[in-house]
Amino acid sequence: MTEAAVLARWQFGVTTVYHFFFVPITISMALIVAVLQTLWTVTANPRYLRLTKFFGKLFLINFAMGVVTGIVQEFQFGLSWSEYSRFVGDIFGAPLAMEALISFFLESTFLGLWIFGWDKLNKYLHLATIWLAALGSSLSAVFILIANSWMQNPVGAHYNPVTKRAEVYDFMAVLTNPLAATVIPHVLFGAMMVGSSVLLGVCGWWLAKLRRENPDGLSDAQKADDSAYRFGVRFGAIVAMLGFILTFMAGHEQGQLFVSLQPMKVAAQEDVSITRENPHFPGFAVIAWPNDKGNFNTIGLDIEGETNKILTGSKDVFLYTYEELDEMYSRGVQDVIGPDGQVIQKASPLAKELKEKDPELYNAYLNTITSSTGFVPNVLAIFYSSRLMMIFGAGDFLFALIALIMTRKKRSPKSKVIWTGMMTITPLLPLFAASLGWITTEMGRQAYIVYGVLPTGAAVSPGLTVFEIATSLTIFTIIYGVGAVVEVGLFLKTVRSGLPDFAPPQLAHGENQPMSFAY
Amino acid sequence: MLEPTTLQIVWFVLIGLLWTGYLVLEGFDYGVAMLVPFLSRNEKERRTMINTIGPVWDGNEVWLLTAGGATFAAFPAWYATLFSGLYLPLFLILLGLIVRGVSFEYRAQRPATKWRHTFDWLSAGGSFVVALVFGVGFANFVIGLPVTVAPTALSQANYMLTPNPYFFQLFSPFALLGGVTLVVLFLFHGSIYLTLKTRGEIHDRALGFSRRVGLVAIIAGAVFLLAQHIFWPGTSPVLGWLTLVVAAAGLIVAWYFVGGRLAGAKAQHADVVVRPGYSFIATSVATAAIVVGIFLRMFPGLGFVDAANPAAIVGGPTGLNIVGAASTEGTLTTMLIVAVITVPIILAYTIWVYWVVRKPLSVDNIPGEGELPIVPNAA
Repeated sequence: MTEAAVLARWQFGVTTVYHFFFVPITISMALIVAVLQTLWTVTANPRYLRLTKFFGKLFLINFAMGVVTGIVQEFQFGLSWSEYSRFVGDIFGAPLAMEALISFFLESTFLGLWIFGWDKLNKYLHLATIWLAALGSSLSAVFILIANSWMQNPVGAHYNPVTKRAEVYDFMAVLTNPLAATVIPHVLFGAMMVGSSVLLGVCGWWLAKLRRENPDGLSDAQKADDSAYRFGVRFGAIVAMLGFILTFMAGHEQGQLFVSLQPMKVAAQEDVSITRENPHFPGFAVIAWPNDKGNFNTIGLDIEGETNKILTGSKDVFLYTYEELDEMYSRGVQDVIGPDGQVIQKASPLAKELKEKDPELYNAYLNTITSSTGFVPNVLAIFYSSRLMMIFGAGDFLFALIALIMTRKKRSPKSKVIWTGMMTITPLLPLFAASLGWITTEMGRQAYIVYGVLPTGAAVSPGLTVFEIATSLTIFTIIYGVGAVVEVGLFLKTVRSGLPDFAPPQLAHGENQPMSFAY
Repeated sequence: MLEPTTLQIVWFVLIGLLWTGYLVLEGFDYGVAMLVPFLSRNEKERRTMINTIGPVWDGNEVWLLTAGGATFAAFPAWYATLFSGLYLPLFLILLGLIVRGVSFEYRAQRPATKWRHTFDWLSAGGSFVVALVFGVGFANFVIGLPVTVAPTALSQANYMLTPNPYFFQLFSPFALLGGVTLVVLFLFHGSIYLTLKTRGEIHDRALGFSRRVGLVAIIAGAVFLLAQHIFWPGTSPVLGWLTLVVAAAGLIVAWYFVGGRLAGAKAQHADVVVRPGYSFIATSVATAAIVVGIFLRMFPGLGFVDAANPAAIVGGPTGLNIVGAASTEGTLTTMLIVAVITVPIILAYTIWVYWVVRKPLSVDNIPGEGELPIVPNAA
């Protein structure tokens, strides 16, 4: 890879990981705020309106940063990855355009109306605006995950040797990509864990704070606060736990698909290596560290076939090591056949057609990989990202369960320091888990940008100079860093200010009446 | 001879429409953001101005994202070469969009004057940069960006700007005029919007400013459009001439209806009937005509010329032109179906939102700081 390509990858990594801190919060908080406002509309219980306003404000602080960092992503394909854009635009462009047409318009237009509409719409119409904005957010995830799943598993596409690019022949196949069918629920339920854990963490933190600051008992106003926070804790905890179970199930389905779609990713994730005992049926490694032979020492469950069993449900399913896969791919093997003649990995039609119809380009692409990084991705990074993802996710489930137990039957948390610490960590656990999940799947896809077809190194903009990419990477990093400080500062300031006072929305009348909300 | 299909032409036109939507809608909110530091006398006035665009600016910006996404989907090679070739200008635009995009939300979060002034200048500066760079960019599409097949792209089908990097070449006098014209046009458009959407002193100040900036917009626009017409007549000079006339007429009509009169008639200002609504429609029409004029000149070469022969577009079925850069007919059809269904719905709810927030604001409508974001008169 050229120096510019390496920097372009760093820029994409930095900006994407950063953007993806805001995405799951936006998706889930929009839905949570919509649910809270629905509860207010139905029950007229003041606590739901106060929670709606409180978490609505936190949501908006986060949303602003999510939007502006999202624009960078849409532009970046063309900026740094023009050969990728040209090669895949016939397929990949469509979900992006649909995302803008269907999701972004819905999300941005109705969110604007929701923010300013408290005194302009009746309560049912106003409630509809937050649901439409939330729908827009969730749909945008659906479209972008369809696009990403196509990169991971390029279905429904031909290679056209005249135009030298991928062209769609079955758009329905792109929309119904089996990988997308597991990735979409995995990411959406994972996002639900994030938002509900923010709800749980913020409310839980306040629950302890109220008691700590008022050891002699709560006033009536504080009792009202207490009841709202208690609801937030319990509602958040239940959604987070449910979210974990569903995320886990969808993630397991996804893992099974990757056993045949990308055996290399799976081998890297589990350190399936010829250096392991029973290399094709290894035990489950919990810890791995580099040894001086350029491989890894592992510690874990040394039961033969344990990894195979965890991945596929059967300890008899044969797994290739990444060294073997690397050797096969280097020879141009596309369909990977197991020792008993069974097909382990079936290459996409797109990859096969590229090899068949344009062998010269195919070999040139292959050469960019064999002559540089080889086909084995960064094993250690993938190994640990995937494990930490699971640990953080399970930790969130555990914390939610503890919170639920400690607040049962009107009880309140006693252990103040531990509880407060737990509540502070809770929102971060699924947030980092989501991020690590992306790092696992995206780094595991290397050295390809379109799996089995287009190498990452060949996808970079041919005219991109080191000066350009270094400048933008530096400035993006600085601006994103400053942005993070400002955004986290505002978020915490809002958290500390607590629930706003109750005041029911009223329709405006008279031209000089102050607006219910204004910037 | 290039023979574009109907779908290719339809998508070229649709992308032009998306750009028009973006420039007409975000044009005024860029204008307002640029005017906030200059037309306001106090914090409540600044907030009044910002709140005229508060509910709508984010939706307006989606037109730009859609134009980008539609170019990616319908003409991947256009998107690829344009975005990679104009790396640094687009990077500047992204910076502008980032700082202005967070400004409105974040400025409201702290009452400190310094904090708020910082964000006011960030949003004004960001809007200025975005408008200026897009103006420079569009002027360069008229001139034609010289491209050649990228030697390092393995596919040998990727076009890049040449010489590379192509940066200082972008700032020809005509291109700079394009940048200035777009900034001035947005200031005019934005001040008319403010006139429409505010009451009281801000309204009067915005109206007064629109009269002055309107004249500048007419002059800048006339020079830009005439230069474009003389030096880059495009493939259909008659249509090009027509867009020029419509754009000029639009600007003049807009100026007329904010009460703009030439010197000597100043005394009559008190009597003139002001119709900022007409002016707003007129600047919108002028903006649309300018976009149409530019897109006429980008047909069929998409704003690129062959570096080896700058008088010619990049020909051939895989060349960088409306045919060679296009997606397959299948993709264009799928996307057209999606657009035909969604765009009327988008327009309908966008119009509805503008209707809901139609009421002009004055400083009296701005709540005090402590009351954010709750209605003060609890029932």
